Formats: sequence, C-alpha cells, structure tokens
Amino acid sequence: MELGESDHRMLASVRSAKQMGLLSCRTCHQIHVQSMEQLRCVQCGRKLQQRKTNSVTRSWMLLAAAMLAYFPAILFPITVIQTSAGKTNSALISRVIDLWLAGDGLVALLMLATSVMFPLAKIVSLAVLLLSVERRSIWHLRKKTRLFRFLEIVSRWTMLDVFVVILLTSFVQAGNIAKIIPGPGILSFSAVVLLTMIASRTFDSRLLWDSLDE
Amino acid sequence: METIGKDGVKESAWIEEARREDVIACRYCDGIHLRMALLPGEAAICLRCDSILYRNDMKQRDVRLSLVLAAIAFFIISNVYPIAEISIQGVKVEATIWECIDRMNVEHMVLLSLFLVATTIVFPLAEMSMMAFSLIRKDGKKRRPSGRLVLFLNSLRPWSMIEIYMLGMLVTFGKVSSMASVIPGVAAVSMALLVVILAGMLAFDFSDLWN
Repeated sequence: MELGESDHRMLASVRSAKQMGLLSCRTCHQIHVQSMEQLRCVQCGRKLQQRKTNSVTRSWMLLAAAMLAYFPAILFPITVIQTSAGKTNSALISRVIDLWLAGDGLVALLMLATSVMFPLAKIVSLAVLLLSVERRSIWHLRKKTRLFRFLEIVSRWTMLDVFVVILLTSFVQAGNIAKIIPGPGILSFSAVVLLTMIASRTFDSRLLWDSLDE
Repeated sequence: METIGKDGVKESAWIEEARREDVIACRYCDGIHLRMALLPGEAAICLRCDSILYRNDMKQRDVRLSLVLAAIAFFIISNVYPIAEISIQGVKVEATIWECIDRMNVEHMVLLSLFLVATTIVFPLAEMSMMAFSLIRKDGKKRRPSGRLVLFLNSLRPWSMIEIYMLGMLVTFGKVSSMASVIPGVAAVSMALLVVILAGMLAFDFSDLWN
C-alpha cells in the first residue's frame, strides 16, 4: 500500500469527521452529529452537508467545458490591432511564434508559459485530482492536497491576460495611428479561466482523503 | 452517542465533553483535531494534510474597521479619477475604470464589460461594505450578524478581481511605454494603495464575526 511521504504521520490516528460520525459546517466550522445532514447549522444557519453535492460529476462537467473552450482560446485571435498599415489578428499561439521568430526567445517562452501552458496545467491538475478520487488512489495525498490549495489561490490570477487586453483596448485608441480591439478568442479564454475557477470550487478535496479511510 | 471508533466508550466520552467549540475538522481532509489555545501569531496545522486549521491573529475591531473604511475610501477614489493618461504620437487618451467598461460595450463585448463591472466594482464594493456593516453592528444590540451575510461574503472573495486589474494596469503600462508616453493617474495610485490595504486585511482574522 503505497502512501507516499511520511506514512507514519498519516497513520497517527487522525480520524476524519465522517469516520467519527460527525459533520462540520463549511462556514463556521461548528461540529454537528452526522444525522443533522440537510438540517441547518446551529451557529450560522447554513445547510449542512457531509461533502459537496455531486462534487465529482459537477467538477468533471465544468472541466470538460473548460477543455473545449481551451482550443479556441489559444487559436482564435484575442486582440485585433488596427494600424494605418492595416489590420492584424493576433492569437496567443501566433504571438508566441512571432516573438520566437523575431529573436525575442525569452519573452516568447515567458508568454508561452504563462498564457498557454498555465491554463492547460490548471486543467490537467484538476483532471489528476478528479481521477484520483474516482480511482480511490492514496498516492501522495498530501502533495495533491497542496496542489489543490495552490490552485485555489492562483486560479484568479490567470485572468491577468484578459485584463491586459481590456486595458490595452481602452488606452490604445489613437484613431488611425494605432487601435486595439479585443478579438473573439478573449471570450473563450475568459471562459477557460472562469470554468476552472468554478470547477475547483465544486471539487471537495476531502473526497481524496476518504479513500484513505476506507 | 454513537461513534465509529476502536475504543468505543472512551471516544464517546471524549466527544461528549469536547463537542462544541473544542473540536475542529480540517477543511481539506476532514481530519478531526482538538482545538488548542494559541499564542498570538500562531497557527494550528492539520496533522494529515499540512493545511492551516485556525489561526490566532490580531482581532482588534478598531483597526479592522478603519482598514475597511480606508479601503472603501480608496475604492471610491479609484472609480472617480482616471487611471492614466497615455499619449500615442500626440493623441491623448485619458480613462477612468468606467470608461474602460464603456469601451467594451462599444466594441460589442458586452459580456466582458459585465464581467468587468462585476469583478472590479460590484463584488469588491459589496464585500467591503458588508464587512464594514458587520464590524459596526458587532457591538450594537444584535451581536451576531446574519449567518447568510457572512456566508455570502466568504463566497464572494475569490471573485473580487481588483488586485488583478491593478497588476494588469502595470503590465499594460509596461507594454505600451515603448510606443507611447504613460502618465499614471490618481486612480492608479489609489488602486495600488487599495491593493495593499486588502492584502493587509488578510492578516486579520474575521471568523469571530459569528462567534
């Protein structure tokens, strides 16, 4: 039974609330008896749930939608630059290639990493976590939990690209000299970020640890 | 009381006595822990998954309230004044955050403008005002603010993207500076300060609002 790092600490008799027949309120952390599921928390009035409802199903659905949205996000233009010379459609992939060919290798790699690879990495990470729950895997549980916490914090910052395009559009409006307008790809990109954000909120990381208790 | 445990009676007794405030379940792995007293600045870490269970932060109400009020003040300033003045070959463009939103409408990206309004205006304002409201009400007649309010407040937090807007501003300034002259406006500065205050607010523990 491969447990990953520090097995002895995990076996140090930490029981889960579910194992002990208890229920924790998500907002105020007040402990209740398991039979109080679906009733209201005594302290804050929130409806009690042992685990987030249909966590795996809902997260998979959202993740699938994000995967679908990922391709147009990368391939369709996110900015359209209108100069006196004419219109230039610019998708993320093409920008990276252009930068690379122009000799700006470092910036190209940076852009590739943050705008193209990072959303993909988020999708893959969530998929790994979901598969983990479905296959009742207990491999490196702590590392996976840490991954999940990291995703929670970092998710919103992926929106940065969208904000940059919005601001560029607002400021670069010099009529015929230079004008930037957002392209169709921006909606798909926003969709990817939002969907992965919601998917990580519907995912209940406690399900990972339920496999250990069984 | 029934618990699934090896020691049967022993565990029941433990749970029986330690029910209410003394027991906490980890948010990420559901591990049960006994609450302990912490020194100021300390945090309790889950034995199983290493995540923070609870902290003992500064809880001075006065400081928190003034932080929240300052945040609201900076927020209002950021909305009213322009973010920057950018001149491309002599053509000046000055824009406030509302003008950015308007720009999106003009370019037929209504969804984007709605998104912008929501994440940089509505959600942060809602969060800050509800926090101020809860803090003010705390010492009034009704001690406990509505649980639903606090719940809603917590769920809004990840959707308030004003810090990311701020970073987007900096990146845009950097990108545009090669072909235009950028003069940061009042809103840029006040937004930067707002971000600092918001980061500072994270250091304070707000969970006592419902205790």
